Amino acid sequence: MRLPGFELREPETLEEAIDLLGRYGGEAKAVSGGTALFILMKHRYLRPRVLIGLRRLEELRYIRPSEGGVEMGALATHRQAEQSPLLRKANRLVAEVYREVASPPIREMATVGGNLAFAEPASDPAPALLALDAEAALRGPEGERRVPLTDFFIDFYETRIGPTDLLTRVRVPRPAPRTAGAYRNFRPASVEDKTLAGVAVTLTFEEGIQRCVKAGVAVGGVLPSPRRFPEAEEVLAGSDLSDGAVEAAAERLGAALQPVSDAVASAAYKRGLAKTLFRRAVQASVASARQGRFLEV
Amino acid sequence: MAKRIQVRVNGRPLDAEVPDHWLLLDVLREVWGLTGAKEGCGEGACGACTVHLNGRPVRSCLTLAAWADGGEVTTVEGLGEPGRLHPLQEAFVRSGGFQCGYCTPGMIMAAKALLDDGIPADEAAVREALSGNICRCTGYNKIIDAVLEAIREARA
Repeated sequence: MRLPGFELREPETLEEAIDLLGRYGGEAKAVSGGTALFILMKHRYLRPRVLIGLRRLEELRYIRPSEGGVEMGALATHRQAEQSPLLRKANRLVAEVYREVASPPIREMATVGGNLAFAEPASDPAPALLALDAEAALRGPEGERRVPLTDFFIDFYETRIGPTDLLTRVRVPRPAPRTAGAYRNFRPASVEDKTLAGVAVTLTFEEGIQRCVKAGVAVGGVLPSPRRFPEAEEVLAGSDLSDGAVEAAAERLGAALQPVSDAVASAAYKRGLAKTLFRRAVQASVASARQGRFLEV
Repeated sequence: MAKRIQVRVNGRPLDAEVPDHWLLLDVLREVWGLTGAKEGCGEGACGACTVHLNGRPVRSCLTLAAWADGGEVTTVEGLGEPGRLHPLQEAFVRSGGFQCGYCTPGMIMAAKALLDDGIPADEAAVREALSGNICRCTGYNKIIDAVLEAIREARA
């Protein structure tokens, strides 16, 4: 399959990239790994006149400590995130979810920024980043603005990134002490199939690991875009995470979810699946916490 | 728009005048006559087009030719030749790790990335490394066996 024709521009600096986006506006698309955009272009769903290739912007290819948390440059690859010694120490859940995406060669190419900018509803990293209170930095002609991921996704493949913006970095704040977490997903067949449902849970415990003081719950795959569910978080926070409390939270999650029926599964099936994955993610988080395995080592 | 690219392919400096929208797979096969890398799905899912770009495994069907400019590409043709096969290729032959052979170059290049990493690899690591490579003939056991054998030999 051939790509449709386009003009390729490869800026050497971030400033130049922003300039080019400003100049071409809606006629241009930014591309980093290409693993998502090129598929849409091959099928002629998208035919940008200009592609702004970002590979020379080495300044955006980092994973580093930031303001107590960690920050990933938009061009850091999934493989870099998965193997990052910093992430494995500072926030294991982030390293773990990047390993869930596709296969190793795809993860060598696909970037952290591209994954969020593409806004794949079935993104594996997105629910974890949502539950972890991550925020994206968008750079446009007017300067930079920070957007919490909870405000970032709008709808199917749609985000707050404007036609002249570039997503430059993603910051994940430092988890509170005694925070554990897990991500559980389900794919219908092989690793190359998209995640049908994915649920990320973070639980912050009181000393003694009996009571939960704060919870993060986010779901991807079954919705037009990944989303957080305060409805379920409220039930977990303040609870002892007994079976009854987890079940009550699962019910709240199920009631708040509005899954989309499609050729793969009905809304009812997806709702049941999300609830099951939610319970498993909570159980895994509790088990980790009891073993003293928190997000930050 | 077209651009002249220069790429060191399997150790040889090559160049080509390519339109901006050409993929690395297009130029490998159609300009340089290196037909080891295959097009399967064209979407990165099947792995038949896997080559190494600057030492890392990538899908040549989703990599612009321009992105290889100034870089190094290794294809299956760069590993061995008849009578002097790469140990991975030898292991595939001995284990019977293929039937039609269409997926084999991609399998070999994905497996070579694992070997190149040099970290201890067990069966789970081999399965993970090949998880993005589809074979429609053999089932995967003989392919996994071949890679495990090559890893054992590399250690010996």
